[in-house]
Amino acid sequence: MKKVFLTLIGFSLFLMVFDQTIGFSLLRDFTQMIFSPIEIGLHGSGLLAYDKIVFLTKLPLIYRENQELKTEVNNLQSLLMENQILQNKNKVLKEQLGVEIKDYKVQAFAQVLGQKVEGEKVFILIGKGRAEGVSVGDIVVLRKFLVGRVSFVTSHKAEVLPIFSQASKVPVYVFSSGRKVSGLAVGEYNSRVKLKEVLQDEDLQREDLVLTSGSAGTYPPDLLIGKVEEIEKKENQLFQEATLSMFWEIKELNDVFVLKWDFE
Amino acid sequence: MRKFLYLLILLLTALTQIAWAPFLMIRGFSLPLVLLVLFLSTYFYQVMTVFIFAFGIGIFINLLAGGIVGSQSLALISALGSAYIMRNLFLGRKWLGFLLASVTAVIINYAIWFFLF
Repeated sequence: MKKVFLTLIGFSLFLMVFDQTIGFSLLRDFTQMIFSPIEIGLHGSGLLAYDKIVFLTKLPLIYRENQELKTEVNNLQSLLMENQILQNKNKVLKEQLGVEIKDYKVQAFAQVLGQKVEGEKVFILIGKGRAEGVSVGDIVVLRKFLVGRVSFVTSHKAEVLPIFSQASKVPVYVFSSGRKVSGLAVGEYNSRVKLKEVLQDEDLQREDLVLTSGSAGTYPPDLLIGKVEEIEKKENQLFQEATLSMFWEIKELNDVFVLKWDFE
Repeated sequence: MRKFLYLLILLLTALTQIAWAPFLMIRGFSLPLVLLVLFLSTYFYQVMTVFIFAFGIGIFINLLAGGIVGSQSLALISALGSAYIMRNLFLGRKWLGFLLASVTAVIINYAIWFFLF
């Protein structure tokens, strides 16, 4: 038995070296092509089951939330009206200044296949790859909310480094009291996003919106990251930190858009 | 026939582990379903057979979900090996042995991952 154990360990190591030098790209593409439909089905059934469980456990809260939402809808409708007026004004001003309104190019509409944990990094797997024009560096969004950045691509699949991954660092700005305050959104414990490198003097407030600044060239500007949830100020420290609440949850993520954009 | 059924269960578990990973996350750690199934099957199959299946399913996971091919096999086999040793140390106390062996398997599995990446 010891012999079999050591042989298998040795063979695993050999395969690792082989993969790093020559690679298994053909076999990998073939396996993914065969099993991706099953993965999509399983992920869909998982979402369905999760939704049902969450609904049943939260049933007593739903009625109260519903009432609160009705009030919020009324408030939002009035805000929407104000926003439309402001948008019209903004458009006129931009035309006058000659500023071009730039849109991102939607490259693909992809289904989420699952999630992969590699050491302390976590990745989201999506069902579109090189064949559909997806490449490393593309941005993945859900509506206007930033999900992450494509970090690895095979022919029909891609790995996305989500903003909550420990390895993710996104230059951001906080829209606080009418001012733009710059900072860095860093993934923590592979489950939440923390706002760091914000100077102590800056006056952060709860519910302040956090958006991408586009300053490092890795992410486009003005995509929503989240809202400030809890501010942590420590005396004698240069920077303050804040925990952010995201606008989407990984458990509810089913379909995403892959965007191409040019950094200028 | 029995081995074919076992292989099918393992394949489905591996696919579920990848596709359901978002729902199986606990504080940033994904529940290693395949490892748990493999560990449980050491009670019904010969350990040597389980090692061979662990090797195969590890390669399948790497091909499907990415990562260096062979790394998942290495982690699974090492975890199962240590769990087996731990189980044999507590042969007289079955439940304690089971508990300690499964905890050891999960820890070793993650330790190998952190060491590799």
